[in-house]
Amino acid sequence: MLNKTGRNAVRKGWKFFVLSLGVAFAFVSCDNEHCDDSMYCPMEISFYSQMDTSEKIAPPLLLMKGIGSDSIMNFSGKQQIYFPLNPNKETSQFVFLMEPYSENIKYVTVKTDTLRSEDEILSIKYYLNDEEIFIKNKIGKAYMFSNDTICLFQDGNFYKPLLDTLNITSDLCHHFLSSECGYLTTFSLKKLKFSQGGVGFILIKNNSVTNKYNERHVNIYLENY
Amino acid sequence: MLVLFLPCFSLSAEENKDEDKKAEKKFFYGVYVDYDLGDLLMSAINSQRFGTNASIEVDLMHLLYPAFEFGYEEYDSAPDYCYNNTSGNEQTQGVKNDIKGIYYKLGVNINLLKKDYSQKLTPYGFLGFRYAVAPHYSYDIAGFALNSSYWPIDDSNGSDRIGWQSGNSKAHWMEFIAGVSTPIYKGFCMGAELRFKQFLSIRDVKGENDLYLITPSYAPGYGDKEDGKWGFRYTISYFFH
Repeated sequence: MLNKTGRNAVRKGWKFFVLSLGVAFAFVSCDNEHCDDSMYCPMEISFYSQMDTSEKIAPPLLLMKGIGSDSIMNFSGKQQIYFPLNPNKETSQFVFLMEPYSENIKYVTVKTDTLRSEDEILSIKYYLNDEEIFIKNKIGKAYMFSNDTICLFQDGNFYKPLLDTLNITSDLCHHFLSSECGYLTTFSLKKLKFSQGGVGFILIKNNSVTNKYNERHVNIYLENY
Repeated sequence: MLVLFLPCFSLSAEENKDEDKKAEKKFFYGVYVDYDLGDLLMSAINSQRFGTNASIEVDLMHLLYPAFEFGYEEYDSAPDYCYNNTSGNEQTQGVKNDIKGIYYKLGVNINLLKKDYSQKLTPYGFLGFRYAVAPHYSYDIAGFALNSSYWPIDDSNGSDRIGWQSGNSKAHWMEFIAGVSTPIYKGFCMGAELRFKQFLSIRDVKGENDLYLITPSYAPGYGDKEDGKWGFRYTISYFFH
């Protein structure tokens, strides 16, 4: 069926076939097995003073803790903050801890018992209402004690911080991207409200929280700043 | 890579130049029916995958080869990965991203070698393209957890795992091909093709009160869009004339 030139071509074709089989398997082994998409959809808040809404301000003390999470975020001195909403729940709750307004400072009597050895402090015991408490965590001037009391410490005095809970209600969308990335959760903000209303008022600028870079979502106009 | 080898075929074909002049060029030489051995081989070595495809090519003037391909593929890509809702590097149990469906490809190959019009069956080296569609393939996705480094996952009762999502989607893509085919015995030929693929569209599917949006990352006949744009076929074919 084939003449001499045809048979030559077949021989060359076989060589090519074996060689290209190796090349193809090299391609097969080069799977890209990591997620290339940004999976972080942070919500943004910018802070303004109610006195002057033209310039952003930076609260000198701002700690936030998601209710349900053990991690405390320290946003002290930031004009603009980014933080993750809970992808599992329509309502994310965050405890806001801030410096109280000067007229609202309430001092707390925490007695201390310091054990010294010459110039060295060996240990300090803390007592609240005659009950011994331990420091669980300390961030800046904020002390978190073992009985869940949080106090701020300045100039030798403990005093109560401004505490409020920010409730963020949103519609969720779980977007399946790939086996590598899994689901990306985006949020559509519906309602933001402080439980006690002592921090400031809230304005939603953009209700869509996605993984796009540099989105702006919410302004909070702080009282007494 | 394939193009580098095309001169091998050209040289041998050139030797036949005098005979070419004498041979009468025909419009229709025959029909190739091929089967992709590469797909079969990949199915054999990868237990998560099964695929099979075949094509029909018509030899017109030893120059143009209109082609129609069709195939079926199913693949669960989830076991390839370790998810951070497990400890260590063990595969997460109960996670699946399973795609099943048929696909079609339509296009043409252009033979770049010297033509030997005296032979009905000749080696040919070609460039070509395909328009491909997977018109209605199914997906089943289950067991993926929502990832957040800040919010802990309560995996004790699976409550943070997304429930079973299933449905159908549709994908279109283009493929550009370089390949060769050569006779090996009587009417049987072997061929190899390297393919560059580019998605044109893949349909997102909304589910359950718009709470879910599924973008299948895998289309039958294309593969995983995250795994790159190259593909290959190794074919055995029979030439009917």
